[in-house]
Amino acid sequence: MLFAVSGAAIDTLFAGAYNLAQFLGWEWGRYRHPSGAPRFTVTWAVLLVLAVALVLTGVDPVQLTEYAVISSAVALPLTYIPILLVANDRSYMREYVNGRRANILGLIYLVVIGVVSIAAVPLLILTNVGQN
Amino acid sequence: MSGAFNIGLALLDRQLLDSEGRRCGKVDDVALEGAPGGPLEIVAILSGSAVLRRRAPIAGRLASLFGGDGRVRVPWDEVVEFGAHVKLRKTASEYGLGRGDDRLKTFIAKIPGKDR
Repeated sequence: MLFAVSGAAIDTLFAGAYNLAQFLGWEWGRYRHPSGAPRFTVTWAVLLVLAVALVLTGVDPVQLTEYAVISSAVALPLTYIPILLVANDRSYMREYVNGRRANILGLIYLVVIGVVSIAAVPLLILTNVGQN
Repeated sequence: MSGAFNIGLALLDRQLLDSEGRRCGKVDDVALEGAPGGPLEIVAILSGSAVLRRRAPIAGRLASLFGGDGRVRVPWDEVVEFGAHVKLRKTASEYGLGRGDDRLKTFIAKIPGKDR
């Protein structure tokens, strides 16, 4: 249990730091060591402190996780569309750039994600967070 | 470096890399020159939260919160290559890029295991 929770915590902290650093163009990555990527390091450390503070408020962690998962479902298109765009960018993907078939499948999946994203909050309310 | 290309797709928001391969910001905007009706020419890359804020106010404010309120102009002649990233001729500090990381380095230097 401890290792599962610790692994998830490390994963989440680093995901947050990677997102911010890559969005803003900072140096990032564990391979750079803390002195080589200071803002990346400070970001995950600050996120750790914030996460601990959040847990110490006494909030129900299971309920918090449920809301977090639903929020991530709402935000899914925002993470999926950039990936689809990059998959179509030849300067990044070179010979692996998306073809017509991959794009058709990708767009079908985008529609599915869109439906999930739109339905998430109404379902949350209608089912009383899955309690009904 | 010449030729026509779509600035929005090929250049904006690309990662800046200095001569040592250090990530040192993004292409937040470009400076263009050209007469009315004539072709436009890129004369410089603009980077920093103050530049980003003009295009994306919320993201720009977020960036200035973490990295200071910077605005750096890099002449286009300093661009060695561009594609998935934009490679520059000199080191980041020579352009004034990556100052947020430089400022925090002194703080990180006090932490045990900073090079592991």
